[in-house]
Amino acid sequence: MNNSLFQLPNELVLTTLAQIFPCRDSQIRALATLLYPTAAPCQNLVLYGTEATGKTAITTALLEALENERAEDGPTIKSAIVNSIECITARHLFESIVSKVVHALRWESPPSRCETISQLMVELSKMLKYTPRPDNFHFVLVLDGIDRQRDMPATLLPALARLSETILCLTTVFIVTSPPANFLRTPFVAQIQFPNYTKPEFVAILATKTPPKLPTTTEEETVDLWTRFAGAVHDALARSAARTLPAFRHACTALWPRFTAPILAGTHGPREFSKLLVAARVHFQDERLLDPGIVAANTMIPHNSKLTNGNAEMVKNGGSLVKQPGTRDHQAVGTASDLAVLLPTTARLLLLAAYLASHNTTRHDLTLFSTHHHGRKRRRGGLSLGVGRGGRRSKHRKIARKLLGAHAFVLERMLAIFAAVRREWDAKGAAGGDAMDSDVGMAIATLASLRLLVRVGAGVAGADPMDRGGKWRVNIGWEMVRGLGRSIGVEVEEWLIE
Amino acid sequence: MSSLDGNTGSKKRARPRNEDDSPAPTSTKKQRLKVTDNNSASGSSPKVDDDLNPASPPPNGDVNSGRPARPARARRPTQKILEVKGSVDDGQANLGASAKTTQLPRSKLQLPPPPPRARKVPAATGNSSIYDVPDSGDELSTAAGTPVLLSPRKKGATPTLEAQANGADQPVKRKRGRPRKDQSALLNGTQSAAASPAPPTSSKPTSARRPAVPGKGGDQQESEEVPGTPSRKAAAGIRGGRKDLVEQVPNGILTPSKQRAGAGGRERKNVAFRSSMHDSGDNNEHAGEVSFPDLVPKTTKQQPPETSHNEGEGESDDSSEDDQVCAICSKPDTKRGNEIVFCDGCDMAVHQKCYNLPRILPEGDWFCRTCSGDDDSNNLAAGDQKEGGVVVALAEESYLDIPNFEQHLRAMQRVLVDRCTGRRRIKLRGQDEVYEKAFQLVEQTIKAGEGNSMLVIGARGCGKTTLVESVVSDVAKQHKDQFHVVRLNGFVHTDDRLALREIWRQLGKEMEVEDDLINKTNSYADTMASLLALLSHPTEIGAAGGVEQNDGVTSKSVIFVIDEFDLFATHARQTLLYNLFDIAQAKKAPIAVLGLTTRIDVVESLEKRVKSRFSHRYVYLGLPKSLPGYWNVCRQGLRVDDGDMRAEGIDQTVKGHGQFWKWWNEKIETLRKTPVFQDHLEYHFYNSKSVSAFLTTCILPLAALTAAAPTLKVPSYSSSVVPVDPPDSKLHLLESLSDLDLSMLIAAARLDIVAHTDTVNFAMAYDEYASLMSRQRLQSASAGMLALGGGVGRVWGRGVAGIAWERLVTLGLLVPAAPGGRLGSGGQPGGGLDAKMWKVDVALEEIPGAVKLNNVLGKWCREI
Repeated sequence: MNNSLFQLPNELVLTTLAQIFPCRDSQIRALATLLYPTAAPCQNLVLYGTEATGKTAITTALLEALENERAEDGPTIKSAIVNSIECITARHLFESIVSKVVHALRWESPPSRCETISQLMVELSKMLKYTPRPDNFHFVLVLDGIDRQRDMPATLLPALARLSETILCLTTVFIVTSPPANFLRTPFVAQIQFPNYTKPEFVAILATKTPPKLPTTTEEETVDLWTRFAGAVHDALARSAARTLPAFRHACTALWPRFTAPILAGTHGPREFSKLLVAARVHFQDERLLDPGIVAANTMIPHNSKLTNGNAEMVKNGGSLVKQPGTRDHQAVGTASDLAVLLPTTARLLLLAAYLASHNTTRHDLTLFSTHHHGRKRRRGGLSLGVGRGGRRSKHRKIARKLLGAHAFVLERMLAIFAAVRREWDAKGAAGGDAMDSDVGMAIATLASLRLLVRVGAGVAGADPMDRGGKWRVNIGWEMVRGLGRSIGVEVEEWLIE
Repeated sequence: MSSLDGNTGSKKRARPRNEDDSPAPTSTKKQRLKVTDNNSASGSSPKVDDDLNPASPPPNGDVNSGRPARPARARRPTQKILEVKGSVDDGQANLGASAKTTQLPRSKLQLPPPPPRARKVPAATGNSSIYDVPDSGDELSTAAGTPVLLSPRKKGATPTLEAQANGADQPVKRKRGRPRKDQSALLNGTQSAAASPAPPTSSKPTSARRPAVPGKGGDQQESEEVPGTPSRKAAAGIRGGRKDLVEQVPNGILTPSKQRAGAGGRERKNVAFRSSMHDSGDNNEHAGEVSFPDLVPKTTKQQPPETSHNEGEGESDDSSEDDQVCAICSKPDTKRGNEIVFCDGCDMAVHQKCYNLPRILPEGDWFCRTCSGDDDSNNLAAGDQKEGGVVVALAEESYLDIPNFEQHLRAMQRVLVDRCTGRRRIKLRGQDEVYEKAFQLVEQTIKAGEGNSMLVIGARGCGKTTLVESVVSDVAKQHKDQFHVVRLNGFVHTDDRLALREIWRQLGKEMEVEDDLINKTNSYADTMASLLALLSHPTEIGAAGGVEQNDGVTSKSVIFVIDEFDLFATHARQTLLYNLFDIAQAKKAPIAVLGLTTRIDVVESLEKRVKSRFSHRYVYLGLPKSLPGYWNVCRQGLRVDDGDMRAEGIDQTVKGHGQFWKWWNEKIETLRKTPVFQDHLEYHFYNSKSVSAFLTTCILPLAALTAAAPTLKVPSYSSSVVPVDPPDSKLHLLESLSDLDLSMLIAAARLDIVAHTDTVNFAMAYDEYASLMSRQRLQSASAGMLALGGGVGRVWGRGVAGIAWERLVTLGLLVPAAPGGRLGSGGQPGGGLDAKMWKVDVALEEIPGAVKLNNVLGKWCREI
């Protein structure tokens, strides 16, 4: 053990960092203390927190700053940051670790391969342990997002946590979202939380970068307005639906031109905040700010026709910043009308039949489609959202079948339904004429190729698509089907039985 | 300075005081510290301060002159009187000699019961001067002293007040102003000049005070004034004539009593009584008796508290005295931009520079870091970590005596922090028997060439590795170079092939050589034996290929330390274990196999043939059984025993070594007795009994120690310190969710109960969310609340809700139900969001506890 005195990292470095990353002062300090060679270098360290809270950015910046800050005979710190999301397998991870460390140390003879954790330990030992290093040398290995490592054997994390037991000058930093209890299987690890920002912090962070001054206002007014505006956006959008810094920032930059449009137009002054807010209320309620679909970007332009093209473009570009899983729905909404137009009647009828087959149970088929008794009976169905639940509240509620998603059905059954309803529905429909069997086959093939109908079950690849025993599932949602049904004058709801 | 009258005289006095005082205060403080040390256990800084104040004076008194001094002091306190008189009668008051005496007495005077008051009085002035615009100085303080609600600082700002103050100060100054050289000097000039002509103006400030001052105070002042120059009286009269007087009468009676009561703990009551008594005395016999003068200071004191009541800040100001010294450098001097600042929470006094405060203090209350930690600090600017921990031992200045203090402190930090981070081993406590057993086994292996095997069983963090490592290092002291150690870890060496390769490597072989051997899958035993045989003949190592078996020729023993032993039992056929145990038992070579494991039933998992070769020696390591035992182990992270100094590389020859460690150990013991610390300790004891868990929490507090603030803070759970504890569960994630995320989560969790399903998909959750929202809107609309736009007023569309849903998935709050379950839309991107089934990883009833919900969401959680 070296007996050098205890020494905290240079205050200047920390202060600078704290300015770059506002509202993270305490985390930066704690992290620096726990990494700095002459302070309190831990063996393992866990940083956890939700996304976009600065875990990786701060760690990277801090390590870089500490590496660069070099006092003579001061401590040396080297680091390697491995993003485990980029690594597909454990072996991939090991090899990237080794290559990063080799790079950081400018090691001359990189090992050719590194397949196992034990080999990793050997290689790291060679580089860090067996090579003589100055007393104050310290190496920091950062494993970013290690909890999302794919194909991770159960012993991987505990093993990684033991690297530093063997190699004393090593600190392993694990960056995770939410550490499970004792996931490193070590007695205790220091864990630093990066909590999400609060409203004042959000606003403060945004205030560090103010937009360019508006032509009709002063610098000061712009800054002031921006701050208040950020607060309003936070309340309207971030707090309620998208509480991450990138989403918030995106919403602010996207809204700012629209918000300040009245100022540019001279309608309102920069001091009339509440008036501006009222004027921009429509924009604040626009969900596409948070959920900009691919299609939405186009539809936005007519909506914001008043805006300049530049703004719309900004919105479009900004859209890519926010990850947006919900795209499908938008596409659905956007294309539903198209579908009705694009598909021939037979295909539409088949799709509806498939939907009914997916969402009705077999035992109701007789009720629905039998013509046995008097002309037609049936359809007691009619499910409706949220209605009729009141009475049964005390007992367990039944979930609407349509919410449970599509069930698989046998092709034969769908064709039977199709045969049962086609006459009736076709009569109503505008486009008519008896469909030939060949039409049916082609329609099914079309729907399958469009993936509106999906073949399920084993042997999907090689099976004959026209095998009447094959299992299928409809792949469109309720909204689409309803639109489709209405296009041929059918209320699909009436044909669904709970 | 050179100005005129008695005023100047008084000023002069003041200065000498300062000089004299500067040393005195330190001594007092030190003493205080000692005294406090014992008392400080209580932990509340303010209390301590209070205690200190009273306590400190006595020492001074003793030191300085004891009894005789008192009378002189008595005058002092009355200083106002004295001074005034001095100017009139005592012009002699003797700037020189008398001044000295008086000065000394001052401190002395303060010492006795009166001292607190006396201090307070001067403190008030001092404070005011500090905070106020420097120019305004003393007078400001007086102004501050006035009952008027304004705080001294604020008042200071206004020029008019200053002007008044200048005029008025004369009386006041004498009493208080001394300490501040600069200000007093400046002021003196102005004051002195202003004094005679200015009475009316001066009267304003004084009058202001009076109203606030209780009857006693007012009386005293008046009495003082009476003795003083007639002008003052006149001024007083004027004051009375003005609004102040009118107010005073009613206020004065009522307010003072309340204030005093409200002020709480301090000794104001005594002061008050005395003052009242004195007042009468003063009125009658002001000049003649020294003893009475004491009363004066009291009155002044009283005044400040009253004023303080008004704003609540006053106290701190008041409590500091002229001779109040900085808690860090213990010097009383002040300059513009580096004045002594008093914490409004605990009355701690520090220099701006010593405490790293900005030159210009913000208006309003100022709190030291200790107080502000709890308080929500305004002084983030100060740039240091807000350590919200509770100050366990009050910042005490006694450490300032210790030579090389900083060096000692940092050497200590080095050792303790290393221990806490696990870079230095701490000793096992209460495991002597176990240690003995393990030691013997290893020693026998080395000395007698026996083959041995043993299992060390114990919970995580109970010291298994520590035990083995200390055994190994102790054995190494006697038998250096007579054995090798091979360390394996079940997590790292996940199969026997790797383990063998590692053994080979650790025994000094190159990996390529060993590759050949690996290929002979059946030759584990041979390999082992050959390895061990090779060890016996160092000369043969060069000829790596030579696999000759020279049984019995072994000269070097090998200690195998197998961590996570239970994992080796999961390897196919347990080949490695079999061979190791076999070698150990058959005495093919002197090896000792030490298996470390947390599983108490590990032997059951051994195959029969392996088990039969195992010696069935066990050692169980237990966790500390009692709190004292636990502390006994944990203590090593906070202090270094005398015996270990050398081992830890602490230079004991450095001057001040003994002093420092005595001081530190005392501090830790004191700390240990505080309830906060005990809570902390008990928390870890009853939660996990994990020593390292406790030590880890000590790292940051230890690292935060500096020579300026060498007080260890306990991380308390409510504080704003970055805790290093792991989160209890996923629930901490809820805090960072948006309202919509939470709504979706609650909706999904509700379905669990409402619809009795254990899995949900997005469609179901969104449907539930939409219906809840529509019901909510209906209700709020009927209640007319819609206009107010209550918390969740907005129904978000599917798209945004889908984003929220995916966020929940990313955060792990939703976990996929059985992979590819019934509806598992395996690879189809289209069917994914709506239909894929998830399990909610949070129960509905957990949600309200984990995050603060708004009314609507809270209701959703409560009402099914």
